[in-house]
Amino acid sequence: MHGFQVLSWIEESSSGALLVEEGALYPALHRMETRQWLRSKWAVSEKGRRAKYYDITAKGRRALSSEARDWNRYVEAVASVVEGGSSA
Amino acid sequence: MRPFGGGGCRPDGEGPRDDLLNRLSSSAYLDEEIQHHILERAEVLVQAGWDEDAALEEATRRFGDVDGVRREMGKARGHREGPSTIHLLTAFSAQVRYAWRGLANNVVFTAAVVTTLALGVGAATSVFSVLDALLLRPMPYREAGRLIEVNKGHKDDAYTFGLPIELANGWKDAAAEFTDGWLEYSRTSLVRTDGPVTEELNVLAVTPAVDTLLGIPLLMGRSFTPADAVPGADEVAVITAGYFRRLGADPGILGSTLQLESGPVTVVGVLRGGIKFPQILTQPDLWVALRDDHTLLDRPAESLDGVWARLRPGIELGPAQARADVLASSLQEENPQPRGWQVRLMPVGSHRANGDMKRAIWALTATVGAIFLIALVNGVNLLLVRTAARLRELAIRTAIGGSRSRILGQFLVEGLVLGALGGVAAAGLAALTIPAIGRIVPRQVLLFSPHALEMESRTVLFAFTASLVAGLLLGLLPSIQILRHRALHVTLAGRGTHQTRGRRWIRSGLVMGQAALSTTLLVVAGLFVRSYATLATVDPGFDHQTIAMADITFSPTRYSEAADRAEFVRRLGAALDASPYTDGVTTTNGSGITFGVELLAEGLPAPASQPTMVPFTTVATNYTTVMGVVMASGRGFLPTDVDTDAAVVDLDLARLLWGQADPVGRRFRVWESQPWYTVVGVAEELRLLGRDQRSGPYQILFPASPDEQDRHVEFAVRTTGDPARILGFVRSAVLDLDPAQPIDALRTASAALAEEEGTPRFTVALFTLLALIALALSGVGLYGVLANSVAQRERELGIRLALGAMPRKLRRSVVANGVTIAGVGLMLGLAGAMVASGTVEPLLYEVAPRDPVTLLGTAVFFMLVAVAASLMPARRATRGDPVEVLRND
Repeated sequence: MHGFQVLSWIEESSSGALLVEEGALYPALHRMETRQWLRSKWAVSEKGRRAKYYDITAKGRRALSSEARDWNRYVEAVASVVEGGSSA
Repeated sequence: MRPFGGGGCRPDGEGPRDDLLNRLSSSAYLDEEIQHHILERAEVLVQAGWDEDAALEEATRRFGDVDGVRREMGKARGHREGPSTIHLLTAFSAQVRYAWRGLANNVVFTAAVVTTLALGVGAATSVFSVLDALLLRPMPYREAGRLIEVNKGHKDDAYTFGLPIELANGWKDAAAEFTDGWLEYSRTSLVRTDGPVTEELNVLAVTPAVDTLLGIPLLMGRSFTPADAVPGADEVAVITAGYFRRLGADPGILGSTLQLESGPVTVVGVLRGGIKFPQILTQPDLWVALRDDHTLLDRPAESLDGVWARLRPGIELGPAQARADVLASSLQEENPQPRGWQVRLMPVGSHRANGDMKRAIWALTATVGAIFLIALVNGVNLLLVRTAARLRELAIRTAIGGSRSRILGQFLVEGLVLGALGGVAAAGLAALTIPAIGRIVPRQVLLFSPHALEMESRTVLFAFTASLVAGLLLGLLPSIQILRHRALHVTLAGRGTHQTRGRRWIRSGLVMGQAALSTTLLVVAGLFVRSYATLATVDPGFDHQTIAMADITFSPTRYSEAADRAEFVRRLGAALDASPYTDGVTTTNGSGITFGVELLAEGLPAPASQPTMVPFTTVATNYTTVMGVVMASGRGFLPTDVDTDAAVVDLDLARLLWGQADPVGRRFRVWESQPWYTVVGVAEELRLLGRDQRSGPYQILFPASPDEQDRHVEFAVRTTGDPARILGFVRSAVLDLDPAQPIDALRTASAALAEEEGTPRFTVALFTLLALIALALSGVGLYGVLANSVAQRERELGIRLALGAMPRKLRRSVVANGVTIAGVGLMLGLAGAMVASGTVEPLLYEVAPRDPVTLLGTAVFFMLVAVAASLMPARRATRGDPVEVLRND
């Protein structure tokens, strides 16, 4: 997936709720690449343009599952606090 | 794919690398990634119904702070901010890699530009190698600036001759007041009798001064010492590297003895590499000492092939020559020379190319310069088309803050990469063509150059310099075009970008210039072709179509007696004459040229103008009959003419001396101290030195005695059929008589004449080839411009077709466009040809420099090519389905 496809995918799956400034995506992609969570290659897109394609690495997958676990724990914690608070 | 390998650092995808290379190249990649995003977004907006320009603006706005994002991306990769002043080379190599990727993605474009450059620069490189060997490259000798040649020449003529042996010692002593070194060399050949095979060796006899004057590079052993040159000393030889290798490179050769037909010589040294002397065509196998009494291997040297001296430090050529003129008059008393002769001091190598040859070389240089320009225009046109296609990319790069200098830099680097690729291809092409030129170049051309015609470092350097300069121009011109476009008009929907009228005119103008240059070249080539064709139809004055010729040089040891030589000639003549296929045999015993003549008819005043030189030939008495020489009056020789004052002259000479009167029975002389000759016959025409009139309009024949024979004899055998078919018979007749006697040259008389005309033929071939390359390149240029303009107008043409326009009419309009461009170029080119043809006029034989046939022929030929180049784009203009064309838009 190249950057614009990533963005479009996020837009679609979040119904446009998540991103404010499109450009902000790219420093994030590059940081993840630096941490070797992503790898990239340049290729010609189906529209005939040169584009940079990103792909997740094994390290990236591990990071994703651990980050997702953290995130879920965080969401659960917040939810229980919010729910507990309301039931209290 | 990493052709410029090295660092091993891919700018993307390999984790953090805090080096400048990575940073700089990735900054270009960051821009490209951002640009890609904006384009994609803008396209989505256009699909949603946005206006193209507004879509681009909105896409850029949504992206947000481009500079901030770029900085963040840089930080994400661990880069410090701020420019660094070091490692500029590394930065450059990163740019190169980026440009390479762009070019590798567009193979057709890259190949087209590289091919164009290779042709233009390759042609220039090939001609440069000739120019270099003949004019530019310094002489390969130690202190070459002080080395002079001591020659003899006539004051009215540019030709020079070697110093006669009998004058050499007197001049060596006399010249010592302004020279501090004196070198003589002479060439001969001898049979070695104890070698692996009995073979004739080429021998260079040289005075020992060669070591102190030039320095002899030795592989082993020693070179000559003054003691070796003392008459009576032991015979020693230094063998050349080539012969050393042929003998198996055995170091044991040192100190061994070679048996030559003259006697034994001891090998004392082996040369490393070697010194090439001008005027010696076959590389020698061994060097021997030329002795103080001008003998070599106990025989008198025939002549000196070169006499060189070194000027004393601080003495200039001019004063030295003035001193030599004074010395000449005192030496004249001891050894009188004909009127007008002088000793000429010239820098070594200064007559590598004579006047005509220099003129031809400069004409060739101008020609390849023009081809280079034509190729450059094609390259520029290709880049302009590509730039037009990249306008959107460039517009966005400007929009997201890519600086102009960065864009310019990228264009230049791209040009340099193209130039480097072109340089490789051009050098490759030259490596193929230079040896080919070397094979067809007439021997006369390189006779005086110490350099061989070959690919060497200077040639390669030239190819790359020319190619990189071309590449730089290719990068510069289109980018100027871009930068001048202040408001880059950007459209996103593809092919809508219309060429501005200005740019189309620039391209048409460039193609006109190409057409003009190639027309000029075609005219010049056409003149050479016409000149050569005229020359080939000139009657040489004898029946060359039925004659075979064999040149024989007698071995100086085995045929040392004139009687033996005469006997050989008599017996070979009889053997050849006995064949049913032959119709007469005759011989030429010697020929030469008399310079500084004072022709005078007895009892008449001296003619108003004297020719500089008169060639004379000593022939067997049946010569005019066997050769089929047409006599204007009088007769050919009779056997009774031998040892009399009889002479045959040609009509030109008869007219010069006697006007319209019949000269038969009258007497004339060539110069004062020579005897009078009586004319027995006048030949209509005699061009024995080639058909080109300039090699000698006057000719005198003298009868040869059958009992005297020089070292050289030329047999002419008249046949009843094709003379080529009896060449084998002539060879076997010589072998039958003496198996050890080689034949120097064996060919038909027509081939011998063609060989004399080798230089004009070479000139014709080279100019024609170059003019055709120029024509092909400008044909491609014209095609390119028309094809591009058709592609640009595809929509308009489609609509016109849909509206019912006649396809033929549309095609005609495209062809008319091409013909107009070519026609204007043609007119300019013909004007240019008027100037150019004047400068080559001295090289032409009986063709006016404004020959109407050539001019008209060139014009017609050129316009045919122009129409052909226009037809293909014209077809394409009407081939498309109008509906398709419109839908695509």
